[in-house]
Amino acid sequence: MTFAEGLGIFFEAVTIAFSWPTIGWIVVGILVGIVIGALPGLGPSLGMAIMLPLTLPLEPVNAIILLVSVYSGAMYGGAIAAILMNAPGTSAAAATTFDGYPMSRRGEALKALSISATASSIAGFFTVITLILLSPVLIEVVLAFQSPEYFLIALLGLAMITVISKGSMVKGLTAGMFGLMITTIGTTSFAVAPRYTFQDQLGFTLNDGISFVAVLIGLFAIAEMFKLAGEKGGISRGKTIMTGSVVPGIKSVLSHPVTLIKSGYIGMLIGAIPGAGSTVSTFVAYGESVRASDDPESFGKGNEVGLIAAESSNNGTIGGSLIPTLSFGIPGSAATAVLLGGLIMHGLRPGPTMFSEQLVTTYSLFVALLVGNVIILFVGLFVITRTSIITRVDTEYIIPIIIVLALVGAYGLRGPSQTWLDIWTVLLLGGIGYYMKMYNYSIIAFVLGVVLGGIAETNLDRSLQLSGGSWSIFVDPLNQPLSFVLVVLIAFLLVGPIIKPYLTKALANR
Amino acid sequence: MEHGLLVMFLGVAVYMFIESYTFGERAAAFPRFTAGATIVGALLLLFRSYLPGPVQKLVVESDGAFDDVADEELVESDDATGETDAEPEPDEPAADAETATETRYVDLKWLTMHGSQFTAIISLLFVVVSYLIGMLWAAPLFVATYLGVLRRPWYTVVGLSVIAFLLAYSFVLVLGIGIDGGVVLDLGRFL
Repeated sequence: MTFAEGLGIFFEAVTIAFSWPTIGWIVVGILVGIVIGALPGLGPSLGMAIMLPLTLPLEPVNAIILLVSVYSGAMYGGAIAAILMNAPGTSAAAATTFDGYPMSRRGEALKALSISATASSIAGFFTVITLILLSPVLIEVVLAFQSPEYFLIALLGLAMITVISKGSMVKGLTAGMFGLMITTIGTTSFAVAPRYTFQDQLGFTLNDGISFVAVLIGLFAIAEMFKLAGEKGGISRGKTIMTGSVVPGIKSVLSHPVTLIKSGYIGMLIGAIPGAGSTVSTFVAYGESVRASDDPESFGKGNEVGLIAAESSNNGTIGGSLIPTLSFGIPGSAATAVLLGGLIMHGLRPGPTMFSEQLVTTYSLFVALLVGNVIILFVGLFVITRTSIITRVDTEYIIPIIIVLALVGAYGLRGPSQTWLDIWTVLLLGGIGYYMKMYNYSIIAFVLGVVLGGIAETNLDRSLQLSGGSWSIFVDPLNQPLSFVLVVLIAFLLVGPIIKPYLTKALANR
Repeated sequence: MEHGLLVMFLGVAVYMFIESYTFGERAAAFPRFTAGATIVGALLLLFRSYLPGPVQKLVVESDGAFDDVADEELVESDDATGETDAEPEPDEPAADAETATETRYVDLKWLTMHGSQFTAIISLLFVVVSYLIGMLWAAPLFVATYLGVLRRPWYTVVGLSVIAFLLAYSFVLVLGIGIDGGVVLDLGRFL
């Protein structure tokens, strides 16, 4: 593709993003996202999961734009409760509380909120621009991948998620493999062979398998509500008086361009690593701003630079997390796992097609994010500063409403013959997800398995067909060097933690 | 309870592994691979206390790549919120910053129940009642019962029940789903 062709496609995407009703879906998505993010206990993944069924009647491009707008809005919305109530709406906003809440307590709530909106939108804007500029390079990389590499990249994603995230690696891998395994229920696409359909035992067959959207709703909405229902402290009783002013907040962000740019790119880079996510990126960016400061003692006591760092990295993560999601189908976070589910539900496959036949859709998504950041700035400066009541909604009121939305949504996922199967799937996976969370099993690894199962199996089958059934296609350095490198990487990730103590000891003894 | 979860993983995986031998070679490769890996993982976790030292460490808990940074910062977070960030024991429920909160119980007068348990049971009843009378009508009943049991003010019970009905009805309008009648009662004609 030439530069001129790429530019033409980009302008086509701009036209789509600004056409009706697409622009309307961007606004709706951002507003819904901000509300969901600001509500205590709810986050982007839950918001996107309950929105998934409602996107069914939409055009694929509008559906994905709506979902990504919810994601962007919720990432910003999480900061509102963090600043006003010291209760982050999302875990990604935890670092925002360090300096945001002290600012509110000393009567600068409006300034803190305007810093949050300005830093979020500017960082979100330039990281997405960077993503657009990087896309020609991404296209080249993605096109080098064939079936064996796509199968291995799914395994690599699982391995990375389980190694990078805290906890037992074996727990994460087991969860991921269990997720992959349940996608094998139903008829295969390549061999027309029914598997685990229980034709004689049930009143219906499982030919169409288990709906991965029902699994997503169960894991992100129902399991989260079960968890919230067992916890006290979902509401902040305090009331913050909205004092201060908006303009100094904007000036403060603009007078710290280095922190803004550095933190935005830290967010983008860490966001691109599967499993790391925005919670990690905000802490890293915050830590870096403390390290680089001449006055580190003032951090945690209402230092504006700390708030700028946390908020700019938070929204910078969005662009970064889209890189592995769209290129290889490996989500960088729980929210992008749901986005990936949305892509597949609407017939869009991550990988080369997103950067060739579907490039208009991909660019439309990026443009929607750019527009979304402008809306975040407007809403953040002129609406949120006047409406803080949302952060004081009791979780006891939220729980039954979310359960209703989740189960009614599940009813409409597939045809009438699958309705009750999907509803029971949502409820059952809600229970399983609750216990997985309780015992520290990686939900993201499980979701990745469920979402990627079909793609991984198709690519494994194609690879084995190419090699005449021999698994050596994955470890042939002469003919499949990329596959070989991926296998080595996976082995390194899995074996690394075992040999690390011995290596450290050996190096220390030298 | 973690053992229950692992036995469930193991049981499903063993069944799927054995059943895969009834499929053709192409259709069996992937389920056999994933079920086999799940069996190995579940067995390692079930019998982790009998494993040799280095392998046991890997199975029980391993540090994440960003733990040093996150832990350092979480200390500050804990100072601010008064919460603790204790490392979870292998068989104990996770107690990280996200989950280290006080447990909520629901007082049903004759019985005190864990909040999660109560929500799971009432959600199950919601699905059963939905099957009988239709989800559109069961939704406000569910919300009213849930909030009524938690003794919330009557106006919030009524208000949120109406909101639940309207939300369910919006799904009927958007997706055209037939949730206005069940196997016992069909109130769809009143709409």
